[in-house]
Amino acid sequence: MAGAESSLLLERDDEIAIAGGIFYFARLFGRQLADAVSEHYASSAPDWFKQIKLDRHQNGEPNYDDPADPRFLLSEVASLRTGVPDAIPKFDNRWKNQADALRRKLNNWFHNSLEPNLDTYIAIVGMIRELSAQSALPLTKSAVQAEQRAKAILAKAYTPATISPTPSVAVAAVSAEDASATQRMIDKVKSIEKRPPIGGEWTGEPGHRRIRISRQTRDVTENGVSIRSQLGSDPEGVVESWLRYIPERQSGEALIADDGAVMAFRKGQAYLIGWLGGEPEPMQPAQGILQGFALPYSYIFTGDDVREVTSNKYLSRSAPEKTKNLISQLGEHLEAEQMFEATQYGELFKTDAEGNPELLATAHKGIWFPGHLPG
Amino acid sequence: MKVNRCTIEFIDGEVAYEGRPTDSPREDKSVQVGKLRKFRVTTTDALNHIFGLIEWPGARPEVCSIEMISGLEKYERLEGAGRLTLIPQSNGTWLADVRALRYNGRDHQTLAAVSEAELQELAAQEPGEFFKQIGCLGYGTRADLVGDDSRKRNQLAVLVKAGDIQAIAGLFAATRVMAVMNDLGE
Repeated sequence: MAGAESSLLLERDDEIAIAGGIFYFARLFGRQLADAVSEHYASSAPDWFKQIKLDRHQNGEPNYDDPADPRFLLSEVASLRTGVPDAIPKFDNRWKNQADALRRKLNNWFHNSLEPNLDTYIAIVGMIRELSAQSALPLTKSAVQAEQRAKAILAKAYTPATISPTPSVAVAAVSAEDASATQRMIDKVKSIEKRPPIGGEWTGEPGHRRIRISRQTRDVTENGVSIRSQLGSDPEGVVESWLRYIPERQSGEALIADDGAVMAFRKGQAYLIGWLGGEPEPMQPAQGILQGFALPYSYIFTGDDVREVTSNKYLSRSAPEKTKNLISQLGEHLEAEQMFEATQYGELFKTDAEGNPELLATAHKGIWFPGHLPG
Repeated sequence: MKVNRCTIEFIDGEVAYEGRPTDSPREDKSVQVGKLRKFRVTTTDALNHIFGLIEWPGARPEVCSIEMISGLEKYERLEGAGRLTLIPQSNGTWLADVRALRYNGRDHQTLAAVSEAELQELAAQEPGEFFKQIGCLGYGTRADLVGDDSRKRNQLAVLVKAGDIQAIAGLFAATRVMAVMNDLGE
């Protein structure tokens, strides 16, 4: 393909099209990379994939059925243990490092841990574009066009040529497997909209029960009567957690919806501050899948603190409340200098080599970096 | 009519309104009977509040609260504060200062000057464009609009057609209701 077919470029900020587009470029990149490796080893090792598969099996490592799976090729490149890198045109250390970053990103993507939005699209397609350009893969031009279009949409500098009712990218470009993964991702987006993280915007009907949460008495009243007895076994903790999300100057008015969601208003927008009678079970039932999507931050567990990679800030000096318990909880799962991530639900998680997430602990905005969690 | 997160509904009809105009001299305790036209402001955070434009026989027209039907406690401030006084001009237009309810280091909001950036946030669009859209005839300083050379010459203001309730309600919603919603000045 010399350039991107117009139907494969995004037309607007649409989750289905974005998810389909990411799968499309990831698969196309894998296919063209696998073709390059096969061509390189056409005479010397035509069964290169079979050999690697056998090695992986003998070492008890996760295996792949498709030599064009980008996660497989990128993990081979990152480990430098086989001849795959030798077959990649203009491979160098920079290629290796970028491939490792892309591998981690794709692992998160294939495990539904990344939100299908323009930022994710631009990050992944941009990495694919860089590697493709260095190795002169045929998809380079398509990736450049796709990335530019996405950036224009993000900057609101692109006007869709036509309004098509069905996003074309997902339908046209992805396999049945990827289409089903896209569907799971969209279901997750919808479940987040329906049940946002605490501190997140409430988009449903506001509640009808009007309550007042008092900072002075640490009580919750409805029509002037205390409803403390409805707050469960730890009413003080519940009041504390709700007040955390209400600005100091506000009078503590809140609404309770039929399902127990407690919401307050900020600048005319309702946002969730907690639950009456306990938070319902997550709507995403599948095991191993996080309730939220990964935030655009990475964290390092230092052994006795947490450092945010980009800002180099330390949790113990940044969080408004004491973080000792959370840090000791993390210490039960992480080695010093181990990296982990967080979702907007405060789920702190690490991923294994294949991208499977493992939940380490759950944080709220009082014990996390300011501005990282909603609220 | 929408102004950012407010919806304004104009209530048909004109009724008599007995009261004391805001710009009456302090010593003058007499009441007047003015003509009242009402509009309801509802917001995304559940306010339902009726305001009115009152034209007095012997005082400047003004907008004030008529009845707060429901809403968050913070909007109760609008029942006693934030009145908008209009100054009739010789050419048949009315001049209104563009000031907004804001916290100015106090524990309650009072009318005070507002910057262009704050106006943009309150109206959710560029102020000049907003005032034009709601029907104002002009937006600028008092000096620009009516040649004012008093100490208030740099005060931001709008000119509206006399009695234009749409322009007046739009200005009121942005600088009073939205200002309370956004806790302006906090």
